[in-house]
Amino acid sequence: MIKRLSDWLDRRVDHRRLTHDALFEPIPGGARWRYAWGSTLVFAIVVQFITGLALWFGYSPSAQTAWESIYYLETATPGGWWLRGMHHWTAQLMVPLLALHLMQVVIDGAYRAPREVNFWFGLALLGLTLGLSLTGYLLPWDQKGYWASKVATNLLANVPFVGPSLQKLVIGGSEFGHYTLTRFFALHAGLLPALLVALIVGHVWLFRHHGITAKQPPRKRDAMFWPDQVLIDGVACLAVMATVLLLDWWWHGAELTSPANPSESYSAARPDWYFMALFQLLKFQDLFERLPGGGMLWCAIMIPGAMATFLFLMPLWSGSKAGHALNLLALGTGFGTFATLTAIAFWHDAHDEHYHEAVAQGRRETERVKELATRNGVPPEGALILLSGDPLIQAPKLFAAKCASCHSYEGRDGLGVALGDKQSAAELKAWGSREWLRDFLDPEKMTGEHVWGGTALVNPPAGKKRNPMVEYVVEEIPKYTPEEKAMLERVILALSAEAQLPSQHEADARDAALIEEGRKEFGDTGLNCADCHEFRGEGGGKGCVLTGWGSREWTAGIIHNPADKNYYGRRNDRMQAFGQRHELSTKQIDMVAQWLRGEVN
Amino acid sequence: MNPSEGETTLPVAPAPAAVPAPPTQATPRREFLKVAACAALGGCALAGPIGAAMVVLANPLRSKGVPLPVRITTLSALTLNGPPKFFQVVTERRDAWTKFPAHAIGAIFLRRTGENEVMAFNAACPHLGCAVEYRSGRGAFYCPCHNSEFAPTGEVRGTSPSRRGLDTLPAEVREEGEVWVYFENFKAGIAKKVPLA
Repeated sequence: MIKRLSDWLDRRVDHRRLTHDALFEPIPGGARWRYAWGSTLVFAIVVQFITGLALWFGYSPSAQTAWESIYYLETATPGGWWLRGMHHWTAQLMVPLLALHLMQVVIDGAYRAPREVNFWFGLALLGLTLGLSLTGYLLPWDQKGYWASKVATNLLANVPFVGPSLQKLVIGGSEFGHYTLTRFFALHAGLLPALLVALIVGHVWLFRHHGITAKQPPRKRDAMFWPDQVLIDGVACLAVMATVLLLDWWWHGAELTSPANPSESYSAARPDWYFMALFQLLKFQDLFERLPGGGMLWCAIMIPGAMATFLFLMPLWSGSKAGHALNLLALGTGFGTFATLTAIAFWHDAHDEHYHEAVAQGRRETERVKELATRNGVPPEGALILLSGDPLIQAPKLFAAKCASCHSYEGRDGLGVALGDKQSAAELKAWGSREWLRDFLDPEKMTGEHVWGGTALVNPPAGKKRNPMVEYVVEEIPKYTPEEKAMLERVILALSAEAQLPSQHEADARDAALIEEGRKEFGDTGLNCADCHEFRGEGGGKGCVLTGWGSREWTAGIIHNPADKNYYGRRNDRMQAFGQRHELSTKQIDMVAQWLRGEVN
Repeated sequence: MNPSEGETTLPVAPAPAAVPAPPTQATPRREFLKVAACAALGGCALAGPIGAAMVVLANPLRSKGVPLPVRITTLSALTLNGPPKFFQVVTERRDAWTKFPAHAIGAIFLRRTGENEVMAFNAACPHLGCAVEYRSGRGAFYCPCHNSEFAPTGEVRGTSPSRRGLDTLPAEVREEGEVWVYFENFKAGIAKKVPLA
């Protein structure tokens, strides 16, 4: 039955001859492992077409949906991260496979006449593959891809004459946005793969036309492509796939950093590893600055362009032994330089504190946005606003930018980086808590650098007096009787209860009776704090109002304007009125207050 | 073959009608083993990507429609035994990755049939899914696409192409007269009311 169907078909499409022609390519000297590179590349491309097509079914190219659709694919679609990981890691492997294929072709002399044209086909395929990887890098619209692609498209603008127009055409305008994604996607999934297929057909056809360039001397007697070489190629392809799956499993797919944020440069952005050499070369721009056109032109366009041109022209003088030797030498030097530059780039990153910090911050944001997206869903405006309105992510950055020039948070700048300047105002970790108050009201600690030690309140300019509160803590508290000390502890409990910290919720409920006592002891019946401080509608003077001390409103208020009469008033040292002077928005101040109070999770 | 040689001619094997025999003197058994090995290798190498692609592409098969309770209106907006009234069904909706806080997911008609009783119909015509209208002149629901007609109680009227009456939806009156409807869509074109799963 099958035989008859096959006969029927054969009479119409002649498929047996086609298969025969495809399979019975003679291989002088027998099948060899070194001939397998081309086949592994065809295999890799087939894998990319399969996985790419499947990814296409779930991808939505727009600035508000690209990251989101991939996030959804990876977290809510079974097999999703495996699929994307395979696409990613196969792309990663294609570059070394291309390099090996190129080296084998040159070393075996398979680029000599009459095979020059086919060599050029191969180079064009190499270029197309790099183009595919560049365009694919942006599609997730994450911070890494966004910033790396910005650099790549800015370099494009350096191409003489047509550069700026080319750049606009590629990114679909002068700014990155919807059109950048639709255009990159059309290139990545449409135009470039179509060209790739056309060139592969030409490449393989020409290869068949010329026949294989056999490695001399022949080791075995001549064989046919089928089945000897096919068997070897099959094993090689399987090895490629095994490597891809291993990498995919080990790295849990491909990385997806936090959504692209045009307002926040991502200094951990790096191109794919095979562009790291070029990335490093650009750091040596200064060395070429004196050349006509400037260093950027040379590093980004002229040097890579010259190398590509040399590769392109190589076959022309490869007929002579000296020419071939020169090519081998150049190729060796090229790969050596590539490896060295790549190594320098990675070495630099490995020893760069700021880079590590940027990577760590990037990871925090990535994890946080994924957590928020899972918990709350992605709003129609896209996932980015989950981050821009999140106190846990934004407040430490604001703290580092605005507060850490004086204050510290766990001794650091809020983002975990060591302080640049010497601390001159209070440590704010555990703000509002009992511990914070105990330190504040401790005669020794108060004048230390973690509380008020760095302020003019403790060290006033010549001719001025110390702040009365400092005076009180340093002079009076050491004289407290044990009874008064117990009162102070209860007042601390009462004051800290004003903050209503989530972390002290249980302790406050447990100590309700003590807190009630402490509230009374704040005034005349106890420590006379109310002589200066207003508390729960009673007392008051020149000290700050302590009703609601440490609460979200109180904290936001002091950040808004510390010189307000309810806070430091005229005694304010150097703290700025961040809200009143519009350095921080109300929303930003609120985020800082929430974060300091440990209110967000 | 010498690489520096100019034009080369391929030794073209004749294309026989039968399965071509390779030029090596392999035994049929050895030949079979090689073919099997090649097939196995190729199959294994492509199993990963094809498998993952299939699993991802088939994912929508796992999705299920569930009736969503939606607050539609309050009793005060409905007259007892009055004509059916049209309402949009607006609710929070998850569309793949996006969560819309208020999204129109469909339309319904409400009829107040008792002091605390409400009848709800999905406004999609059970014939082929167009939106039906209530025409007070005819005292009937009417579908402008293929002229299906339904009584105010939902039954098919006259020579309508629809094979079943309007799809009723569970409705309940909650505290303070809030009218809640469990919104759901059903398969069109068949006589039985089957939820779109």
